Amino acid sequence: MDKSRQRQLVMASARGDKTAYAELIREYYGAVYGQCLAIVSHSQDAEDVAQDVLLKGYIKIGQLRDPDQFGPWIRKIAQNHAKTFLGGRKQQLEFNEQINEPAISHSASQDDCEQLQWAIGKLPAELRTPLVLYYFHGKTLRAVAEQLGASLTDIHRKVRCGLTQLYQLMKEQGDKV
Amino acid sequence: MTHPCHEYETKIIDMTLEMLEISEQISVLEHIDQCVECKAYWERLQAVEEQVERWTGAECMSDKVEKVIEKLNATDLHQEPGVQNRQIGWTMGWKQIAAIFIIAVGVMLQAVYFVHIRPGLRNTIEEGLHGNSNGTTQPVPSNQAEYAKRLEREKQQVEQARTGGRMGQLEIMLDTGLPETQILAANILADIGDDSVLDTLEKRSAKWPKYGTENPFQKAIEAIQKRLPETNTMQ
Repeated sequence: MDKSRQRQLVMASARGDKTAYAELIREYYGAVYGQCLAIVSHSQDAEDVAQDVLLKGYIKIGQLRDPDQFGPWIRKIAQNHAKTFLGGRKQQLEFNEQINEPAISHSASQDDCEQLQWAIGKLPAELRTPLVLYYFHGKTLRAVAEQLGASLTDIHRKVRCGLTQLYQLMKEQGDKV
Repeated sequence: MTHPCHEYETKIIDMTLEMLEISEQISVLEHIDQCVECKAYWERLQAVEEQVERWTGAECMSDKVEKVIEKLNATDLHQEPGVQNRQIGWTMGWKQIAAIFIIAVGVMLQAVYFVHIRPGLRNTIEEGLHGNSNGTTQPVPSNQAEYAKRLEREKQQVEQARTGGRMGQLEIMLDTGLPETQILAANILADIGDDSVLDTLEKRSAKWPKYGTENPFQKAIEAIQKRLPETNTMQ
């Protein structure tokens, strides 16, 4: 999407035009979802958080000073929202452990998609975030590096390492099955 | 289990991530053709990557996207007031401040102009408001034709007052008339005036410049005072 189109959509959305905002959602859903997934590491949670983030974005879009900055702005909201969500979920897991309820778990018997999500969830956050963002940013290292404020080399190393570990995790699950 | 050759492991990953130079890719692909372990590793890695790509691809996302849009349209969301509105308010505020500043500078410049550059004009204004040194309440016409017209009218009024013996009218002319009219009124009062007009004449006389021609108001006072004992004796 070119900048002038994005500017038009942001300004129209700020005036309450939901159709314009829907177009922004189509454009940025992947980035927002990827950001959420990178943090919460569970696809259903990431989907819920991404939805909340995008609806919150509509409510707050009038506060965005520079329409060209919609992408970084919505990703920042996603980042904060996902971190808050993660904090709340950790408390819930601790509570579940206290009352001996089983925490949400992913077994090897789940289908491929769930197996992948499980494996991504198992990755350490420092590797999961660059790896997930890499795929949600259309396999562009530079965009991930800019978003995370890291060097290209560092992101390259982490994505490489993340993919290796993902491979190992999925291979282990496959061997178990 | 298949283990890739250690030296090719990283290169195979980079090739999967499309981060390998073409020359290196050729070299790795040549090795993969010959090495069963590395070939298995490469294929498995590609399968994982394809799975990730499928999972993060637009097709998988479209359902999720539509769900959000559906929710957006179904929910009555109230947007928070935006900075754009606040910016407009702020801009308006600056415009008002700028307008006030310009007006203030304008007033100051005018003040400087009137006080230092055109004191004559200031005098005219003050005279218009409070009466000038000649006692005229109305501002002195700057236009020569208007001045002559007013002088003619006042002269007629003075003449009428003299004919009718209306000293009150003459006294008013001392206060409000043009300088020529005031002198004319003073000359007439010198002939027909009594002690009731002395105060007004004295006020006028006090404002007569010490230099220049003979003071007509003082002359009128002297004439009246000289005549008064005679009047009193006759009574």
